[in-house]
Amino acid sequence: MPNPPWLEEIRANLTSQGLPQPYIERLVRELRDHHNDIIDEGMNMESEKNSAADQRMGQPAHIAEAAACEYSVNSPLYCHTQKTPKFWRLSWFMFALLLFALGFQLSDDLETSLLQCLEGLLFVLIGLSFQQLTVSDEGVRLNIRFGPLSLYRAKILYSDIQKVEVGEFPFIGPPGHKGRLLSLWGTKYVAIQLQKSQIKLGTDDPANLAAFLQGKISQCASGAQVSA
Amino acid sequence: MTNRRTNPVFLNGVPELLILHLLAQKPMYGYELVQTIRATTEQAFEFGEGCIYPILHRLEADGMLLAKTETVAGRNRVTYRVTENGRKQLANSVASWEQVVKAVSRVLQGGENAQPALA
Repeated sequence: MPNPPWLEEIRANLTSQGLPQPYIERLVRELRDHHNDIIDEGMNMESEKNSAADQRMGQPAHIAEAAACEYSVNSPLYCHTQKTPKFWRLSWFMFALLLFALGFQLSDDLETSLLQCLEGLLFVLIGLSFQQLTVSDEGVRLNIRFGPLSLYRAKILYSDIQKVEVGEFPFIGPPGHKGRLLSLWGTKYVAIQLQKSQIKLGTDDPANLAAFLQGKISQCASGAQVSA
Repeated sequence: MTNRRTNPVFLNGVPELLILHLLAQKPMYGYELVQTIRATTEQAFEFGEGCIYPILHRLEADGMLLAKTETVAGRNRVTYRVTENGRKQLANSVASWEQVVKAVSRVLQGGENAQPALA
């Protein structure tokens, strides 16, 4: 017996968001059983039974949204880490080591030595904070985290995103844009348009990130339509 | 900003608390659990019954619940039971909930007393 349209709507919604098929199939199976149980409670007309059961189950968009949110608590639907090239990481630490060496060997003055070492330490901290950029799904928001030492992070609610598009910074010259720029390395980015501002998020995975965010925008829009 | 409708009662750990508490009393399948919540709360909460399954699946993934497919009244059912971890989580959640209730009660009682003093 074919599934009712609302159940297929949930399946299509979750498939488009990239949830694994076994998870979706199990959810659909349990929802169908639950729907049948409500019908079996007993009412008069077959059409009334279905209509009441549909209502009690809830809006397909809400169920799909709840499923995607709960699933992403343990398994983010999007997670990508971009790393700086090895030579960049190495040169950063070589420079920090150089500062330490200068602090210990070239200076006779204790204060200057300490200052030099502090500069070296600062470089190590900055180096550790900006070696990688992880962009991951957190159910209702996108988490942007520089690391591995997580001194800077940002979060964007999916419901605040109006549109996204992939872009590339000019090879020579400044990026020239208004808003925030969160980029680690490279020229490719995803421009995330919020209500009053724009964030250009540098990434080496622009197509997948944009597609994921596009799916979230559509999901939010369908949720809003259902609520209206 | 788009307004997404969410069910207020199904926020902030309340559904988890109810689910763990009821399943700690006896293993149940989803439909049975929802009917128990409705009956016990005298239908005080309005929620789409389908929204219970994503929470059950997450609690299972977290190791709080154990799911088992069983035949009940001639039908295949996925029955959920609370694990040892789930019972510990339930004890923590109940303690947190009681603290919240006490704190809110104190504020409400204080608010009532404060009004005449301010007048």
